[in-house]
Amino acid sequence: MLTQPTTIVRSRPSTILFTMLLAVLGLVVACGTASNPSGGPATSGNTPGGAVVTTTPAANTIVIKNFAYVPPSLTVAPGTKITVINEDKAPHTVTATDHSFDSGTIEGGQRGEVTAPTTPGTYPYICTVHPYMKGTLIVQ
Amino acid sequence: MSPRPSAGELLARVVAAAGLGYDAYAHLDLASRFDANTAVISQGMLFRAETVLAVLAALGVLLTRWRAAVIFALLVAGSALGAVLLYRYVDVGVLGPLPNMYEPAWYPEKTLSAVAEAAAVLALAAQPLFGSEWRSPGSR
Ligand SMILES: [Cu+2]
Repeated sequence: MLTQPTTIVRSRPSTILFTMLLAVLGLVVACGTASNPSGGPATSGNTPGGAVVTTTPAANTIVIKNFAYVPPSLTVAPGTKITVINEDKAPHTVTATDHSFDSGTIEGGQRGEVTAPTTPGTYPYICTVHPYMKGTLIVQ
Repeated sequence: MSPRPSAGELLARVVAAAGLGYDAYAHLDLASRFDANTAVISQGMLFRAETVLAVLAALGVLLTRWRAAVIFALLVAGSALGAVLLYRYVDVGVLGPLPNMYEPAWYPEKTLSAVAEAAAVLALAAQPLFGSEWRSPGSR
């Protein structure tokens, strides 16, 4: 009877495959953990040295970074022109929920502008592209 | 594994793996931006899961000639393409555990990942054309 060593030959590629799958899985998990430290500060404000860069935006400016408004709450005088800087790759808007102001779509890397209402008050706003993005404009 | 794959089959497999590879990269890169969009599962976690699936699928079509690997990769690339198109044009709303991933915008990274997924789908769908060399796991 002839027995062919097929088992050995056939087990090789699958062993290599399995090892590589494990390696890649490990890599992806490691990358995911590194780029998103649990309990750590906002992800992409970190310098290579590990120091946290706190963006202090100029007055009357809303910066959009990593799908968040900075500062989340901005106080301005009535009728102020507010510059909106989109530092993301994705487009965003600054749109009052009562539609009293709307920047329109600001593409990634571009700037836009909104004019604060003349009536004092608290104006919540969202991004119409990503409605879970929320900010507040206080006019006083 | 013989007979050796034809040049056409090899090319199609490389295209499919490259498409899946870019899909994996783009989803991992964007994941942290979408953590805030959450229902039972967050969009960020879904993106990370997509990365793992796409990497497995790419390795499967590169390192094996299993029919199951091609079908798995086709499902991964096809569902990713279907999802990005659906959520680009339809405000689906929260769907069971899934957050509302509606995003009525294209931007370079998103567009390129959709193109990569489409290329992978085409390259994978072409695999049966390479005929009898298309293997299933048990065949030798
Ligand atoms: Cu947005």
